[in-house]
Amino acid sequence: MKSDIDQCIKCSICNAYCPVLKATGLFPGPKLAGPDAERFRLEGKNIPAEWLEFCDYCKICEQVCPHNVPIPELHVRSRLTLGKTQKPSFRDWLLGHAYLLEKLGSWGAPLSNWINGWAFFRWLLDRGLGIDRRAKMPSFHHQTFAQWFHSRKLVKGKPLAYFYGCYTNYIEPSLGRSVVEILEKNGFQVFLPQQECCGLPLISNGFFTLAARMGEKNLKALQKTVEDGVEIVFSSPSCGMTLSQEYKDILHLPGASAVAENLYEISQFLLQLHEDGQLKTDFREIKETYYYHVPCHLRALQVGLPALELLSLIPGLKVMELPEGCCGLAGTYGLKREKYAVAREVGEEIFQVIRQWNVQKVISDCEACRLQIGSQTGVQTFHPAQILRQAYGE
Amino acid sequence: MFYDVIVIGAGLAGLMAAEAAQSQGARVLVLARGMGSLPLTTGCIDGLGYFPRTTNIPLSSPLSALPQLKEDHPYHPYAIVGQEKIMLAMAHFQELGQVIGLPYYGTFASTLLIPTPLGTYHPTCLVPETMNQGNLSIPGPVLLLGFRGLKDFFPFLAAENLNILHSQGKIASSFRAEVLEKLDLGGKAMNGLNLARAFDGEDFRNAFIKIVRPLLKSGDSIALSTGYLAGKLAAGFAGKNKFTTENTEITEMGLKPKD
Amino acid sequence: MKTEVVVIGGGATGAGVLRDLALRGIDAVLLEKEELTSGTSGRNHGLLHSGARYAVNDPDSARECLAENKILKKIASPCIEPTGGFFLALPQDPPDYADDLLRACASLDLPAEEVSPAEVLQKEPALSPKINRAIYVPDASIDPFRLIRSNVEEAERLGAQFFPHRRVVAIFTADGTIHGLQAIDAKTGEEFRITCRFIINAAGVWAGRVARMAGAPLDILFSKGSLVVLNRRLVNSVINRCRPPSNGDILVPHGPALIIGTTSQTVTEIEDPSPEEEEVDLLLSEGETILPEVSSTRAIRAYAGVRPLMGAREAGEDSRKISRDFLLLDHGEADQIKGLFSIVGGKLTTYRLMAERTVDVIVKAMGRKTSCTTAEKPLPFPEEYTFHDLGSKLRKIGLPQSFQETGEILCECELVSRGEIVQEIRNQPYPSLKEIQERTRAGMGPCQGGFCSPRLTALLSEGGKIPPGTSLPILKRFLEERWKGTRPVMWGPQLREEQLIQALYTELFNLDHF
Repeated sequence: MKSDIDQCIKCSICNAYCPVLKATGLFPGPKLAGPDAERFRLEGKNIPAEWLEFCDYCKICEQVCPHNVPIPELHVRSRLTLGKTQKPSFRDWLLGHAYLLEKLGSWGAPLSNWINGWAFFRWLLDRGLGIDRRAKMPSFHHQTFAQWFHSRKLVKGKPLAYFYGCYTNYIEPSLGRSVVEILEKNGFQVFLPQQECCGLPLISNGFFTLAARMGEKNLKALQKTVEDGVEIVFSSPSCGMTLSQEYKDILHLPGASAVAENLYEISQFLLQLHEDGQLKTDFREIKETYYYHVPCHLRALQVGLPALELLSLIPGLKVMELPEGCCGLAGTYGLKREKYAVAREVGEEIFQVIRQWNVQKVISDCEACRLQIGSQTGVQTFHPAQILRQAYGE
Repeated sequence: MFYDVIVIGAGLAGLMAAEAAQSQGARVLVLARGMGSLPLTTGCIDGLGYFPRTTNIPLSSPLSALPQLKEDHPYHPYAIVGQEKIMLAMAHFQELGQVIGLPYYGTFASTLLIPTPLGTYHPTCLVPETMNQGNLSIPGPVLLLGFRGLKDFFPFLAAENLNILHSQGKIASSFRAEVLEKLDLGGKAMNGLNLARAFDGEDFRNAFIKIVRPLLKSGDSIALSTGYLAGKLAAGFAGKNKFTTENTEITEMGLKPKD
Repeated sequence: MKTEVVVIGGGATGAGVLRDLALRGIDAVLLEKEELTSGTSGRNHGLLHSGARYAVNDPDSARECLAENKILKKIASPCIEPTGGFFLALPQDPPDYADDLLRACASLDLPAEEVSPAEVLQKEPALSPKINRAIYVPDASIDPFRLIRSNVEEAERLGAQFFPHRRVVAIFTADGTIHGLQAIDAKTGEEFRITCRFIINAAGVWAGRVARMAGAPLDILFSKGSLVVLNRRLVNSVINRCRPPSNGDILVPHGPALIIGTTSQTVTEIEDPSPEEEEVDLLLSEGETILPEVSSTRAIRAYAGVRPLMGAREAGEDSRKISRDFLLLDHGEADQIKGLFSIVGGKLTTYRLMAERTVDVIVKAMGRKTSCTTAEKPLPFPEEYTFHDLGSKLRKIGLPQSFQETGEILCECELVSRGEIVQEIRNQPYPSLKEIQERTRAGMGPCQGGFCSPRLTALLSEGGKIPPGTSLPILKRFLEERWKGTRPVMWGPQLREEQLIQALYTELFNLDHF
């Protein structure tokens, strides 16, 4: 079935599940902004920017559509066309170039963290640039994950590439450490291919050309990996989604499909190992209850919920699923002043349940979800790999 | 990954089949391209509205019609499945409803006539709690309430058409309509889903009660086009707000499938 | 009721005549047995010819089209999208035709410019790469419904009267002169008479029937033509096959859709024409040869119209023919019925000219000396009207949070707002779903009114414009008409659409039991 607006039969199931439509009247909904408006865009006319403004690119519409209508792709196509006549703001330039900000933040840590925590600075950012002062900024680490990795002794084993992503590198290197240690325990020799930012913040903020350039660089390095017969894992579903879907469908980068076939989400990879009987399962008991939140972009990867299955191998561990839905942060979306409240409203159902059930600890594969849930509810957040690492002990 | 049963399709049939298999201990996978068609349904479980290929007069009891159905239409699914299994399935569904906190009322032995946004009715058997007081054989005046911007519910049109049915003696309830111009969802898009969610909030409920109370006449029932738990609102009207009408029941009219 | 001229037939011709009469200060009444554009004018291609199509075989017609093309672009620009057009030749087309066309256009001063296939493909990448000749002409896309309504509106403003749902049942003559007629109000059954000296029979395919009421024989031949509407416009220019005129030659972008036409089949049945399966297949396969994506694009509707052509008797006699294209018959000369004029044939593009010629003759017969100003005076259009400009349309609808106001979108397929629809309902004495659809495009999108028709019906009912208790029969009749349009294209996504719409009306509304 060709994927197209012709497939849309106006059932509005996408509208029924869109998390932004239930949070604000500023978004016309995936159906109107997508297949409905697209028919008119063929006349060569742009859809007004306001219609595209509040989509948070969770891709839930595409998951629930019964007929293969590529709604997020239509959204991006519209923004691409719009981009030809409308330049993104300086604020969006900054947020789109998140990798630069994170690099700077990491280089300048701990001073950068102190500045970020300074109310006046945040007020300036809010009034001057439109970055909401209430939005929690993550803390930067001076030593990046890559630096830590390259500073230790090489561990031999079956080669495996790890695309760690900007957030792990500059903000959560401990996650990267957990991933590496889990893989090494299972006999892998991890190596880090040359990598740039995956490009998703650039795409979200309208910088398609630069995103394509970075994508090409990434693909070049990853293609080499694939040619050498080595598979690639990633621990950020958003990075993974960008590499395996956006590079092909949105940026049309050659060679993207070949790389996508060898890309695995870390839990997906470990679960496959387990089903092949090759995963070390000597887990220590963890007698605790965690709650699991499914990231939208993990869903978009369509690999199921491998983390849940893996975590069920840990004795004593109880993992309950939180109500499904989008947490609202959507990368840089929820940092923006005009969107902060919408982002909070989008995730409100989840936050309410967390408060009602007295949840203490939340597991989620996506860093944006961890940041959002953590900052809105105060709970501790973890990537599944960190729990697995903990269960491996020593 | 291995499964005992794979169900293709996540509509009502698929989900019921999956649930049935799982409750018998099977490891079940439901595969669907989208999320299934449940958002597009009426929210009711129909029994047998009309005897096939006969009049436009709804059956009063699908159960009683089964023997004749079996005789006239031996290949009808009901004839093949048989009365016992039908009753079992209905009971099981109602159990499920209790378990998930969305109880269903009614029986296969009796048809309920539920109004639609156009002012027609559709015959059905099992309805959610909110529609339970809203069947058209209950006599008395009903106030149909629309909301500004709720574009798929037409209270005046519905009232007009339902009153025609009332004057023809086909239904017992009579209707009048109002649109609540001043009530909005605080910046959220006005659609059936968002409206239903709004009713979960006490502030909205109180605002609603405040605006609606002056519009009510003695003996009125209220009908809305959205899902809502009757209990909370009725308490708001009859209890704390010292509303003196005797029978204030909140009923739901036909759910519009989208939004 | 008494007037000077009664015009029978609310199509392009009748509307144009009414406007011309009104502008010349002549008292006139237009009677239409159903609604405006219920006949052939409501089932055409939406094409404003440049005239190039007729340049080789019918230069007179081409000349007229060219002149009217310019005039309409001047007086009716809001309802015209100046798409431009191409005549495109494929290897299987007669190779000389392109040159014949260029020569013929040059001799008519019709601006036809040859361009390279590469240029065309750059402008319209969806076209077949097999194109070997391309000629650019000033074809355009036009909204016939709005055009015709504007003609009538202006006439009404100037004092003319228009009555829909009035069927003429008898025409009276006295001493071989028109004296008046009797009509019946189709809605109430009430009969009424109009006294008049002149009757202009612009009743299209029913012109023969009307003429016979006065005792005048008039043979009309009927040629049915079918068209298919695609969900997406695929091209932004009118596309013509560069070959002698044939079936399935023309593709016209019309709003967000694309209309492929047409066929011609002699028929005897004129009521309720509908496309045959073979016609739909032919149109799609012809379309596909020049625009390969046609076969994989969703078709949302197919419809047919019947062209009234002049009969044998009339075709033979030269004296009364103004043009081979249309026939203006003075029954006073031919049949001793003074004051009755029949005008048959023609095309949408030349409606204004036909009206001018007709009214010139009437005016002469009246002994008056007024001249036609319809080519100079611009037609009135409502301020919010947009035929093809999405940008301004959406700007008027505004942001989603204002959707609760009149900007609320009621037809989501075609982005039609509540305000537009309410305006349309308010302006008509007897608005109908069909008229709302034609005037606003509500219901013309992929779901073909499946989701919006209850909303429109509710507005009609709440606007007090339909008698109580008639909403459900009106909705059902609309759905039946809708079905006629979607049935011939029942495959692929449209088939799935129909299943959903059927479920909506049977399961949710239970409308089939009412």
